[in-house]
Amino acid sequence: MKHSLKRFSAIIIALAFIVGAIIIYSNFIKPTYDGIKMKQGELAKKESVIKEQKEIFGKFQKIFSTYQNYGDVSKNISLALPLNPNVSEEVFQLSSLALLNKLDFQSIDTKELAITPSASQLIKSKGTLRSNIKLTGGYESFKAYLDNLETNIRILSINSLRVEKMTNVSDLFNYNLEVDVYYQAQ
Amino acid sequence: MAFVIFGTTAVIFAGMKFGYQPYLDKKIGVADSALKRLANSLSEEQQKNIFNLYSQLNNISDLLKSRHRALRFFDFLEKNTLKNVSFNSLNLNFKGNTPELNILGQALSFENLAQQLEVFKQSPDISKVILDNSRITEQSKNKVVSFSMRLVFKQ
Repeated sequence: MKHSLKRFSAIIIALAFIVGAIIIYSNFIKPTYDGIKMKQGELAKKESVIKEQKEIFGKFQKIFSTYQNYGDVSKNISLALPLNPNVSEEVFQLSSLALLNKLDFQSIDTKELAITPSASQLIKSKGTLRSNIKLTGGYESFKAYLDNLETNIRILSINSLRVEKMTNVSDLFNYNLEVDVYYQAQ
Repeated sequence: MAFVIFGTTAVIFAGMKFGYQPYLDKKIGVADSALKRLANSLSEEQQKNIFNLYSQLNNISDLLKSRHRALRFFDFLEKNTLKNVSFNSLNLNFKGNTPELNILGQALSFENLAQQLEVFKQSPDISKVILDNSRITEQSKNKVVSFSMRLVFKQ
């Protein structure tokens, strides 16, 4: 009798320990572990921001020491990607390049597209101005115009182009271009 | 055995709560003060300028990689068009994943057209050549083969 009571007590104590272990796991270890996971994520994010910012500052210190002046650097970079749509400058560039290449610049329709959101917090979104241009002129002139567009300081991309022979004049063509010009949204 | 299980869970909990969690809190504090120091090392105006410039440089780099260039397609046509074939209309489109060129043109004969298709097909720049239609038409009292074809370029 005494022996079986002792055994029964041992089983009860063992069960109590196991139940205690389960309670510790579900009520204490699991929430603490979840908190630790969150903190690990927060720490990794902060460390990556620090690393990125240090890299940026380092790169710009180099750029500024090379160019001596922030204003010059900023001005030159803004020629390639301005900080606003700058439609008048875009129309001026596209039309004056046509004139320079002896093309007849007939029309330009421009619209602002929805801003493309940036994937990174440190990089601002890009804005797009889409233009439809109509031109007429010779083939070599058009090729020279395309070359000028593709090497223009303000970055642009050609989405589509159509070339059609003019019916009444054999060596002249009609050109339709769809061009995207970009800016950095603020 | 049950006591060992209980003891192990208790030790794990204590290690997490009083060891690793305070260690992480300390590291987060260090990171916060490093971020503050970085932010204070430049004025607000300087920070704004630097981020604008950094962002512009990244955007420029992305745009230069992804923008479309049309001139190379004209060079391609000049190099790969047979002398008995001419084009009346070209339509170059970059809107899909791959550039596509729609051509309306004329060849002196079906044989010339077949040769032209073969030249395009053999080009390493082209992934697909599609002849949409071809028929004999009259031009300045001469019979020619008018055609419509599509060239799908590799990216």
